[in-house]
Amino acid sequence: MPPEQENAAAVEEAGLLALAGRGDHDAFRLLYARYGAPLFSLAVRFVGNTGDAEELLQDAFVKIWTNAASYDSRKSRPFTWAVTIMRRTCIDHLRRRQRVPAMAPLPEEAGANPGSATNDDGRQMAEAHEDAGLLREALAEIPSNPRQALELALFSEMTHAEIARRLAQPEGTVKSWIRRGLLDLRATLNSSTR
Amino acid sequence: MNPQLEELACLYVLDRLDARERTSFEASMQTDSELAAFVREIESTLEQRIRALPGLEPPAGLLARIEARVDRLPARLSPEQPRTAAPLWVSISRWGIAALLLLGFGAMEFRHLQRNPAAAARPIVVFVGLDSRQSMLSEVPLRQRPKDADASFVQLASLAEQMWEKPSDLPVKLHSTGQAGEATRSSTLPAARDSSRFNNSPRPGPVNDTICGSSTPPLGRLARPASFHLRTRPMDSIFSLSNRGSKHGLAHWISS
Repeated sequence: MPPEQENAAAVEEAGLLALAGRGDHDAFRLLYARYGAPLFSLAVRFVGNTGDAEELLQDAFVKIWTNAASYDSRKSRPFTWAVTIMRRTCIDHLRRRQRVPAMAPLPEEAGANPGSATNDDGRQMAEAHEDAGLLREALAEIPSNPRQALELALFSEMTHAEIARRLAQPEGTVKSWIRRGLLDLRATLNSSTR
Repeated sequence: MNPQLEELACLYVLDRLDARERTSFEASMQTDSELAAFVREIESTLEQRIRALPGLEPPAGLLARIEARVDRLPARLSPEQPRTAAPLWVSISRWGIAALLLLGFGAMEFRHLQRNPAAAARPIVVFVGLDSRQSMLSEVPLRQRPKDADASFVQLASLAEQMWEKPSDLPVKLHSTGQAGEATRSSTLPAARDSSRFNNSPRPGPVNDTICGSSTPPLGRLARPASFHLRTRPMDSIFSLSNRGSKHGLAHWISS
């Protein structure tokens, strides 16, 4: 999505959160329409099954409703805020269950399931697939270590110390790799959309 | 921008800073527009990464289930409440509420202790947090009772600090309704691991009335001797009240 569109979406979604914070169910439904699929996909990625992911998505949206009034646009975009709620919900769940998340292989996953894309509209589906393809290509260009560190930081409940053990590196290196991974991803996405 | 700041920004967006680092970073972001812009870029990258996950549609009917749960929540206050530090009077009122709440627990537990001295052999600590955004309660068993008041202070302070560093680890959470003295046990909560630790059956009484919203099941009370800790974010302080070893409870300001 172009930056202007992203910003417009963020402003709109901040407005929806404000309305939801005042008890507006329609605004909440619109937020669900926008965030439901990506947050559900995120939850499935975290816990590895759709049954738990459904429960966790419910929990996350109840929290979104409960906390919508406290959203602060100076601190994050609405989508990031919602993702944080979803991730924390998944992490709490995994830590309670002491489960190892079932994570899919990294580079192949983006766009691996085009038949179940979230948008009904054909044009939007095509755009979504195109974005997923770009992302897949962008991920493939990132060196393995930063990519792994980033993916573990984003999609697992592991602490930095646990990631460090998993990758057999000091925590400082892991944090540096996470930064490298995000910057590389940003750079490749920027260059591919120009 | 220097790599250290970039790294902090990346970890911030990934929600991988602890509470202290996060607060400090957010303060920096308010005054550093370049940093704020960088964070927005990283957020955009993160969003693209997540939106590129295999697209899975939530099952039909899930929204209806969510709305049914939402409808069961107690009514909220108007959202025109402060988003950052609360005014002093609000903090003070929260402290008052919390103190009443804790004193209620403490008095009740002390009565229980008098009835059942053997229970004191299994000490626990209860953490209670109330603020406008999130309230929490957690019960943590202690290995042994501290030998004296000083040891108790150090142990409880240490434990409280540890617990609040990772609030997401707390097994039980309460979500404030924003109403004075009201909080409700979130319907998302798992059942208490040990059913004997919380009495979830409706039970009228001043403590239940104080803690729970009118439409939610009361949290119940802990039928054991306990210590209570409260931390309010605006004041960043911890209040501790222990019913052990004192007829009237023992209050500590642990940090401020």
